Amino acid sequence: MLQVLEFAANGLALGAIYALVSMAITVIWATSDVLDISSGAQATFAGVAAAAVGMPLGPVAGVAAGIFTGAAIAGVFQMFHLRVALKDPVPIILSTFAILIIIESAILTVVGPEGVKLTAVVGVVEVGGAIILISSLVAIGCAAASLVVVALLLRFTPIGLNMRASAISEKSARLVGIAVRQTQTFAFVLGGVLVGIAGVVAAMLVGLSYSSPFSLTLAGLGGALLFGRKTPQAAFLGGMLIGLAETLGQAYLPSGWSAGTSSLVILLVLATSRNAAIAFSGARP
Amino acid sequence: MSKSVGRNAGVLTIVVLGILIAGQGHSSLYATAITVGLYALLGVPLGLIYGCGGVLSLAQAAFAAIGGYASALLFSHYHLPPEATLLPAIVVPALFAYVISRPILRLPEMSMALATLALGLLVEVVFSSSGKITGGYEGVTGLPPIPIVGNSRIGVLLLVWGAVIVCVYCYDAFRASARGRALIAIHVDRLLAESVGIPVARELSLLFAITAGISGFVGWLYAHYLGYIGPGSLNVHLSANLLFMVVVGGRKYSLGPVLGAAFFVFAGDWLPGSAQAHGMVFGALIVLVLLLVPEGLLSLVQSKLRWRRMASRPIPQASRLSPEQSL
Repeated sequence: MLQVLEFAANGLALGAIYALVSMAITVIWATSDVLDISSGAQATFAGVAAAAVGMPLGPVAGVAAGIFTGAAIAGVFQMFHLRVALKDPVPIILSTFAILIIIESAILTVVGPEGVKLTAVVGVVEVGGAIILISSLVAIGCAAASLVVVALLLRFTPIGLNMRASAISEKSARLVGIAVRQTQTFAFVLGGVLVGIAGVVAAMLVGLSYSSPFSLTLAGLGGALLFGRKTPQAAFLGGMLIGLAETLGQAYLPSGWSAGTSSLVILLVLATSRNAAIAFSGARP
Repeated sequence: MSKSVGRNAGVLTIVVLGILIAGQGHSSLYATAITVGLYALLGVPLGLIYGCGGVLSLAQAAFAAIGGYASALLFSHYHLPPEATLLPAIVVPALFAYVISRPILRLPEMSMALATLALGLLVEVVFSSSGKITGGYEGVTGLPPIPIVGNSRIGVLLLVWGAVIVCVYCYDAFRASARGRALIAIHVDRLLAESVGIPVARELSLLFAITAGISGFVGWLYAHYLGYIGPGSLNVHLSANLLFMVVVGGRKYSLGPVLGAAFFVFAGDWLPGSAQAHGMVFGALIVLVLLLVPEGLLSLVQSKLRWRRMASRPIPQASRLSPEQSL
């Protein structure tokens, strides 16, 4: 029983990383209709930056790196809109995939094949007899605090209102005078902040390497899809559940099978959901 | 049938003949051409179902892996020769694709891409984790060479490119046929296509299964050409690259995926710097091409040809026009 509790704590900590990436994907997807495949790469870049700077300024550097990549992707997004009327979302989504390749390659070139880790919080606490890492609690706390901030921002601020309006209908939002492009740019930057935090937490908890981006993106996508991509709260829950399932899978499934957890969730949700055709349209006319 | 159906296949035949002649002096050209051919053979069917049917699949490499593994496992466990494993290598992925197609193909483009991506990763996990059956991460080695052509590079080149030419011809013929037009109608408006009597689900499932069968054939070719297949050989990154090839080359043209495959392979060979740093230049190159030529590189050639045709057409003189024409 104690072992299950410890696994659950580790799973929720891993889920916290995925939840942050899921929230970033959801915020960008809902506001701009772009499925940002590079989210995992941005998180890895942020984590590597944080580890390179070290404590105490590492986390700040990580979040700054996240903001930088988020703004860069927003720039690419705006260039696509300037050049072509974006009827087909595939070229821009493929571009985010290409950005993932760029970041992967940059990390491999600069850092090498070995991973990096940020030593920030050490020690354990005993909860009901189970031994839990303090870094796990910090990770869960960071994700929960980020969720609260994002939810409050969307609910109570003018920019949050603009983001919600853009998510419902870009055309209608433009008709009532909302600067949709600026709002979408802000969504990318906000996504950058979230993946920046995810990267710092991941560097502290599990370490990151050039091979991390794709698995982080996939887990984030699984989390974003699990309960629908409508709200950051749903994305948070989805990410947490994916992390929990993956950790329990690592503990109880034969070696290697837990790597398929996120894929299995995505496939099952999409293939069985009655509303899938409506909920995940992925293209805004 | 349209007169232009065989034109692209003809162009490709001339290119292959050119490669055969040029390769006499540079034998490495044959190996590069085989790689381009294998990618093109995976890309052309993907171009058809995506460009015409709107089916965005990221599982093509997984289907190829299923075909390759089917052949490798039949050889390693039951000692069947490659001639006997060819049919299962095509049929197994085709059947698998047909079975899973119904729930997946009803999804919109992006969700479909995600579902097929997840499927591809699951296939990779299954092959790498079933160590006792599939050889795990090490894969299956010591596979016999392709029958008849054996280890001859020219033989493999002719076989691969012969298959590409047949594929391109079939693509053009299919597109010009009533079923091809039905596929385009499905892409434009699925509901409208259903309302005019097109069996949307059946058409898409069949086409998806056929493309998976062709991918299985590529997997068979790949496994017996290299004598090895592993979980990393035909992975999800290749599926993503295939989609890049189709979009970069031109998803609305039968020769687009072929051009995209050539662009990918040659860009990889000619890029400066270390292999580790290639991803940075390559990724930036892809973003630029997608940004500047969203319809694909072949659209540049097509628009130039169209411009030349228009420029060479004589402008009719007003005095020679009949009253109806002048109106």
